[in-house]
Amino acid sequence: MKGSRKMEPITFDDSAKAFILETFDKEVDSEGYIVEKNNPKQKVLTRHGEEIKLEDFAGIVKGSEVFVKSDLVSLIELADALKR
Amino acid sequence: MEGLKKLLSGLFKIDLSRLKKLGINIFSNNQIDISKKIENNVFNLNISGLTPEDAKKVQGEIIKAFVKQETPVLLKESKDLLEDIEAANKEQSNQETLEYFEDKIPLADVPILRAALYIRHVYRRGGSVEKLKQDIAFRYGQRGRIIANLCTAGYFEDVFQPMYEQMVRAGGFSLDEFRDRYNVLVTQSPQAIFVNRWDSVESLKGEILKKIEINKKYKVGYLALHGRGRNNVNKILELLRDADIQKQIVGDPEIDSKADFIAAKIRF
Repeated sequence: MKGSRKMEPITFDDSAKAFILETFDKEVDSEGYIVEKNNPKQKVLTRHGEEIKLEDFAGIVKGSEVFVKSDLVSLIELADALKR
Repeated sequence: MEGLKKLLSGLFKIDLSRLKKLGINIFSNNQIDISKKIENNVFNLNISGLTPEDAKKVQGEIIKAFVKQETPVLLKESKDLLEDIEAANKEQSNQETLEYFEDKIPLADVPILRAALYIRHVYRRGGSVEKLKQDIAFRYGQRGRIIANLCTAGYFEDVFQPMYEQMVRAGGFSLDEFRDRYNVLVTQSPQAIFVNRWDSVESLKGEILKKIEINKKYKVGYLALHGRGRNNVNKILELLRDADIQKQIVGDPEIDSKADFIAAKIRF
């Protein structure tokens, strides 16, 4: 994620979450978890190994597609990571 | 993002190349006609107005920006929160507190303190912190919630820092001893009670009397009661009038109170 902070992020609203997930070949399963489109049994994980529900999805940053959750602690960690 | 700007320029017949710091925000709303709008230097793209072919082109450019330029792709409200966190991190008082404690408190508490300092930053400007506290509690449990409360109430600067410096001055000091005392205060928070909406006056009375007893044993001569919201303020005022509690305290309580907030300190 080095260098990411220099780039203005592309942002999206809640209404475009599905579009963004589709962009990265992901979708949402019947329980609301984000999964791989070509392997729906494989749930997408954060860097801490947490599964992510659509409602908690906050975006993706570089580093082998690191998925980010929208809670305070995850965003503080992201702020630290983007500083490096 | 230049590729995406170029694509959007072509699709909407508008020259975006001159706008160097243009942001792009993506939304979907088929109830409105506007498929694009530049506001506050952000190009708002309504994807519901795109043909499937053009949507695929947009997705392709997003991937290119992500892969080649490491452009983050973030939920707008999370991006706003991220920027607010970064601004709070730069505040001198927050930096000083974090730098002071990062080699003194247990390592596992350092990220909790960082999050707690942000919550305090929001609290002090009158913002809502309940969801943020829930986020801390979800990741770090009750300990996280207690540290957040203690931080907001100024305990790190007003209690833990003087405690550390007093221990250093007293001689024979060890960091483990400080951490032991710090842990007692954090796990039991004996010097503070934070009144929540689900606390009954009876249970709070019991907690107050118990903490007075513990604090007397450790020669800590005060207890602070904190509450937000009119109901919690009224609970604390009722408790301060309680005969059993009044028997224990010395002098008049120090009260800092507004309609929806109270901090009361009782001595014994």
